Amino acid sequence: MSSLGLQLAQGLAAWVLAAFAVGLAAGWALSRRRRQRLERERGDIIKSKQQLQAIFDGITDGLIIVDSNFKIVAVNKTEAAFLGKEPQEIVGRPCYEVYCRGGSACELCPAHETFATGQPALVSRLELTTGYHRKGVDVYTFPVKDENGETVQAIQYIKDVTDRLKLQRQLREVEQLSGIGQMAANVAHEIRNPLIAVGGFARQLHENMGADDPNREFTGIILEEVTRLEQILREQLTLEKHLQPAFRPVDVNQIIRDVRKLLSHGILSSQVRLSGELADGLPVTMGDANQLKQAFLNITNNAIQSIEDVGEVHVSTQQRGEWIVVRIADSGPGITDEVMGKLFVPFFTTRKTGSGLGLAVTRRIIENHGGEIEVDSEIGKGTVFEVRLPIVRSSPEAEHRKRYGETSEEEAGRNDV
Amino acid sequence: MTKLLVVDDEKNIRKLYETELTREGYDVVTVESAEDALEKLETDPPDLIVLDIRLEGMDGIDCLRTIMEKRRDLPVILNSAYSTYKQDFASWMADAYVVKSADLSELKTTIVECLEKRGKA
Repeated sequence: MSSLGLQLAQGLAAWVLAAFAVGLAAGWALSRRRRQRLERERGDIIKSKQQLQAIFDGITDGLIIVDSNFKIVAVNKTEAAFLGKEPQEIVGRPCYEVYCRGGSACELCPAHETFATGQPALVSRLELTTGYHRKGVDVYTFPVKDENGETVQAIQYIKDVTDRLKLQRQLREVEQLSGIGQMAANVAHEIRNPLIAVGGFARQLHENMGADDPNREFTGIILEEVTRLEQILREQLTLEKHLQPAFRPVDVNQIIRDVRKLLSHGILSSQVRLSGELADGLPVTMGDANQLKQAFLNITNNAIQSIEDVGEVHVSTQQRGEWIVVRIADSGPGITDEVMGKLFVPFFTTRKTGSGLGLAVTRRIIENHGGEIEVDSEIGKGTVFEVRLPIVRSSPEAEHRKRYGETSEEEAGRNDV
Repeated sequence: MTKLLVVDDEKNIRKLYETELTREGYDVVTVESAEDALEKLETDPPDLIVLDIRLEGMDGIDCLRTIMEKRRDLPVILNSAYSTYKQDFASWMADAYVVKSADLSELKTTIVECLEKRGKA
């Protein structure tokens, strides 16, 4: 090789080496940036995963995600707690095994529909039980799709509606009881007239018989039994008797809060907004909290049901002189004059499944409290139920203590009534 | 003889009242409706009326109102199987309110008292 050739070769080698070194340095710098970016992205992903996990676990209703074989992919804390297990004990197992100890997916599960159609689905009023707990649930399923649009997983939102079901059952029971009471009262009244005739003529026969007539003993028995029947009819289980209130000091605002709480479960999924405005410093009055709750539940529930799609029910309390006034206003379709006339008549209803006793019972409860109930309605605008309850104070002594905060010596010896 | 008008839509109750009250020495006329009672008021005026409340057509309370407009001096005893009408203010216009029973002694005593009070005994 000539020296020129050698020089050229050496130059080329140096150049290649230098280029390689530069390339190496540049490549290293580039990969460091990419690493940093990847690192940042990883941090973001972890953060958003943590956020999602927090939301997933923070939801107070049950959530599980199942794959197309109904194997549980994820479960939130609420549902794991209901099942009495740690999430890692549940994940990976088929849901039908965890919930039903069955060998295949439950027939009622709405996930079948979601996997088949790719659409959300709902099954309501299911009952879920574990060893210790039982809850009534509505199960909503939502599809999770892959990049091809195939439904690969289903999110199951398990809404606890135990309270709502319990409330509906209570409402039904009260309506049924009232119905039975009403029927008993009607039957008792129908029986009374014929009984009077039977007893009256038996008395005549009895009195017409001589003291030694052998049949006198028998007419005596008829009279005795008629008297007993009349007594039973007099003590009949009427609606009035069933609804005799037990008076205690009650806070009407608290009753309304309870009613709202009970009803808000039921309207979460509908588009009815339940709003309220409770007066400050509303005085305590004497009443039967359970009955009043029942009465306001009936009215508010009717108001919610009257709204066909979107609307609002507004419940407010205020003091007006010596009265506590509760107004329940809805933005429903209003009540026609014809229906208005029969609103409080027992067994009258506009609903297919109603017993028609809700408002009849409500009015009886309010009247038993010395109160009044008034309805104002405008077609297309809505309806306002106004309930006025008289403020009944427990006793003058208690009133004095409440007002002045301490017991005077003179009063200290007295017992409160 | 003191004449009683009994208004009741139950045939057997009318029969019972008729026999029992006749035995007490009254002249008893019975009718089944408020409308018939108002007619009798004109054609065959009684000294006292025993008036049921739940009647077909005009009810006893409305009948009582009409009687009071025409004959304020006439004693009326409301006689119903229901005690709830006692709470109706209009029922207070009557001289007495007796809840129906197979034992007519309360009704009989009340008839005597009302007649005495009105000086018709």
